[in-house]
Amino acid sequence: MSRRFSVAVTALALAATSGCRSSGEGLAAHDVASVAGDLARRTGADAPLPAYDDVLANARMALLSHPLTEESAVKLALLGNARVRASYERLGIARAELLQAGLISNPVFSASLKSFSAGPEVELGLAQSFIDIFFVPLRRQVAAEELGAMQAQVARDLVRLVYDVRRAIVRVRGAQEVTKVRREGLSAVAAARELMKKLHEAGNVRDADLTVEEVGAARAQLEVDVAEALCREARETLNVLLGLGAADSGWTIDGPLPALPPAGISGEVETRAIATSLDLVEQCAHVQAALAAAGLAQRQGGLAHMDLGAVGKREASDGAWGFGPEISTSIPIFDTGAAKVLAASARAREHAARHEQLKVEVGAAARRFLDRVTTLRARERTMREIYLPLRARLVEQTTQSFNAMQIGAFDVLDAKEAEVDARREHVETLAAAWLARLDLSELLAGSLNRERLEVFSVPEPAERPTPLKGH
Amino acid sequence: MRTSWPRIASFAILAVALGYWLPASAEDDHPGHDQPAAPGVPGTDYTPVVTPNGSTLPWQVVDGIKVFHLVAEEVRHEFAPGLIGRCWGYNGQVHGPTIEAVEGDRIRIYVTNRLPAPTTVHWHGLHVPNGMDGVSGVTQRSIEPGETFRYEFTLTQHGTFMYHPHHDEMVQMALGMMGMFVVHPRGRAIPRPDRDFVYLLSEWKITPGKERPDPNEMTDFNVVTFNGKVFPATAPLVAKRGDLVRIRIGNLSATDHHPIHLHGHSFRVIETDGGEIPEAGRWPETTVLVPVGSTRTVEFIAERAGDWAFHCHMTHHTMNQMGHDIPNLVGVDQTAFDQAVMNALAGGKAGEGNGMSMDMPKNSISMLGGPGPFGFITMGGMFTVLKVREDLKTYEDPGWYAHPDGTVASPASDEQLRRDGIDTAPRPSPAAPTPMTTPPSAPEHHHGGK
Repeated sequence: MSRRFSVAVTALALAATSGCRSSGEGLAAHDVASVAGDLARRTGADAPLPAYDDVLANARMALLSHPLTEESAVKLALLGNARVRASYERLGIARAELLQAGLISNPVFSASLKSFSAGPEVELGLAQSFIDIFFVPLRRQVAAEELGAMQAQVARDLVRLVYDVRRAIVRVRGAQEVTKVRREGLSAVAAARELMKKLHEAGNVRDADLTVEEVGAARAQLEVDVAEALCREARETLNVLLGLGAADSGWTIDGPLPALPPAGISGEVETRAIATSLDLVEQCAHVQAALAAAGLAQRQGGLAHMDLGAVGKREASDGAWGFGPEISTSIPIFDTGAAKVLAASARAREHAARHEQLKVEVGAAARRFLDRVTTLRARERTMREIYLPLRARLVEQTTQSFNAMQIGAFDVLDAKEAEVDARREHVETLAAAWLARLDLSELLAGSLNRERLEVFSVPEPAERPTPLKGH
Repeated sequence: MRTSWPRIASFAILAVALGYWLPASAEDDHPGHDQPAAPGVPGTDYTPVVTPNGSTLPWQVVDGIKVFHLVAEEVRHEFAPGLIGRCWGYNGQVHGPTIEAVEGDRIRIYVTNRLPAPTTVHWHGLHVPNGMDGVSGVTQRSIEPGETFRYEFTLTQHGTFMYHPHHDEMVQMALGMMGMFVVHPRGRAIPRPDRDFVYLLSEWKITPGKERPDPNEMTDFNVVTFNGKVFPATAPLVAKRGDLVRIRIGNLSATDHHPIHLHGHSFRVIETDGGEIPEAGRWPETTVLVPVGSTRTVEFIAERAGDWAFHCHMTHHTMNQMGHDIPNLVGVDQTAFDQAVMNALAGGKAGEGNGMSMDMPKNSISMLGGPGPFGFITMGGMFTVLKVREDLKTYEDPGWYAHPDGTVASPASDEQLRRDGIDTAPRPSPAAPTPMTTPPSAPEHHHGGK
C-alpha cells in the first residue's frame, strides 16, 4: 500500500516538474484572472500569470540580465515562484468543489441473483437519491462562499508574496549598504592600526598602544564579516522568493536604499485597512458559508437519506417478472438532525466571532504600523537632516583640532569611525522605515501579516560622541 | 650748660630719622594725615615708562592729589590676529593700563566694578594703609557689581609693583585682571634710563575654538603672554645703541615662573618689588627668573646693534596654543602619516585627498610664531625682539636688522670644509643595542605589585 502511494506521489511530482498543467487552471481560469487583476490593483504591481518551462526560463533570463529592481523582482516571483502556482491550484480545487456541489448523485443500479431449487430469482433496481435534488442549491451556496473565501485567501497570499519580495529587496539593499559602510569603518580602523605600527617602530608608543589598535581592527573586521554574512542571508531569502536556484542566483541589485517618498501614508488607515482587508473578506465568506451550511442542516433535519426508484423482480417459482416503484428513506426518530443544526449554527457564530475579532486586529495593526511608519520616518529624517550632518561636522571640527595639533590622528580616526557608525545606524533606520512603510502598505493592500506585527526593532544606536580632547 | 657737638649731631640724626619715618608710620594708621609731596611731573620728575602693546593710565590732579579711575569690565582682547578672548580687564584693555606715579605722590584711585561679579584691587608690593590693601573679606568688603570704591594713599616707595584683584583671584586673574604699577623715585640720584619698558607676564588656557579663557586650568596653559600678547603680536623693544635700557618685569601667571632671557647683552637685576638691590648685590645675568607674584627690574646698555631675541626660556612658553595630548611623531615620516590619515578620512580611497580639510579651528593661531627675515620664526608666546640701532630718529619699529656683509651664518662651502678639515660624510649607524635580558634572579616588575 505504502509503495503504491509513494509511486503515485512520485508520478504526480514528475508530472508537475515536467510541465503538467493543473486541471484547475482551465477550470478556474476566470478565478485566476480575477485574482491576478485584484492583485495588480491592490499592490500596483504588474501581475503576470505563472510561466512554465521555456517561457519561464526566457523570462527569467531577460529579467536577470539587468540589475534587479523592485518591479522586476516582483515579476520574477509571480512568474516563477511555485508558491504562486500552488495558490492558483487552490482556486482550481475550490472551483471544482463548487462544481461538485452542483451535481446530484448518480442513480444507483442494483441487481441480485438468487438460486432456488425452482429456479433463479433475479431482482433489478434503479434508485436515485432525491434528497440531493432538494439540497443542491444550498450546497452550491456553501461551496460558492468557500470559493469566495479561497479567492480572498489566495489573493492575500499573493499580496504577501509581493510585499515579501519588496521587503527582501530593501533588506538586500540595506545589507549591501551596511557592508559598504562597515568596510569604510574598517579602513579607518586599519589605517589607525598602520599608523600605530609606524609609531611603534619609531619607539614612540608602548606595545599595549599597538595592541589596542590591533584589537580595534580585529573587531572592525568581525563586524564586516557579520555584515557580509547578513548580506548573503538577505540574498538567499530573495532567491527563495524569486524561485531561483543556485544557477540563477548571481543577480545584482544596484544603488543604495532610495529616500523615503516625501509624503507619508496618511488618511484614515484604520478604516482603509478594514475596508480592503482580504482576511476579513475571507473570514466573512467563511461566515456566509457557515450560515449556508447551517441553513442546509436546518432544511435537512434528520432526513439524511431518501431514494426513489424502480425495481423489477423475477420470481423463482414461476419466472414471472414484477415491476414497481421503490422508496427508501431514513426516519428521523432518533437522529432528528438537531445536533447537526446546532453544530452548524455554532460554527457560523464561531466564524462571526472570529470575523469580529479579526476586525479589531486589523484596526489595531493599522494603528501600530502607522505609528511605526511615523516614528521611523521621523527618526530617519532627524538622522538625515540633523544627526548625520552634526556627525560630519564633528569629524570636520575634530580634524581642525588635529590640524591645530590639539589632538592626535587617532582621535580624528575615532571620530571618523563614529561617524561611519552613525551612517550605519542611518542605513538601518532607513531600511527599518522602508520595512514599516511596506508593512503598512501590505495591510492596506489587504494582507494582515502577523509575523511582521511581532517584528519591530529600532537599529542599534551608534556610539555617543565623546567630548573632544584638548580642553 | 655747654652743648657738645657730637650730642647735637646725634639728636639731629635722630630727628631726621624720625622725620623720615614718622609720617609713614602716621599714614599707616591715619590715612590722610601724611604729608604728600607735590605731584610728580612726567619728563621733569621721571622718564615715562613704555608698556609695549599697552598703555599708561591717565590721571588728573585734584587738590594736589593724582586721581585715577580704573574700570573693571569684560574685554574682548586680541592676543594675536586670529585669537580673541572674552576676558576681564580694566578700562577696556587686557591687561589693565600701567599706573605710573612718583614716590611721595598722594594718589586716589576710583575703582568701578562693571563686572558681573564682585571684585577688589590689591596694590601688590605697595606699602599702603591696611584698609587700602584690597583683600576681600580681610581688609574691606568686596566691590559689588555697579559700585565704585575709592582707594587713597601716599606712595612711600619707588619701584615696580603690580595690581590685581584679591577677590576670587583664581578666576579673575585667569581672565586677565592685572596691571603694572610703577613708582619713580623722587629726587634721588638714580640715573634715569633712556628707555624704560614695562612687561607683565601671564598665562592662559584657551583651547583652539574657544573664546573664554579657562580659569579651572592649573597646569596646562597654552597661551603665555608678554603684556597680554603672544608673538607675532608682541611689539618689539626699540633702543638706540648706547641707550640705558631698563626693563621692568612682573609675573602674575597662575603657576609658572618665567626665566626671561635676553640675547646679545648681559644685564643686572637692580630691584625687585621688595625694593632696590644694593649695587654690591647685582651681578651680570642674561636670564632673570621672575617668580609668580614678583617683579624684577633689569638694566643694561644697549651696546650691540641688531635684532636680539627676548623671550621666556621655558620652551613650551614660546609656543602658541600648543596641544599636549598628541602622539610623539618624532622618527615617523609625518607627510606619509598625514596622507594616511587623509586617505582614511576619505573612506580609504587613496589619493582622493578630499577627506581632510586643512582648516584650523576658529579663533586659533599658529602654534609657531610668524615670518622673519630668514624664514619662519618657530617661536610664539613669550617672545619678542630687542631692536638696537645705531641711528634712530624715533623709537618706532625700525623693521628687521640689515646685517653687515659677512656677519650672518650661512651654508659652508666645500672649499671651506676642506680647508678646515671638516668631514661631513655620514657616519656608520651605531650597532643595534643588545636586547636587555633579565637576570634569572631578578624579580619581575609588574603593575599591581606582583
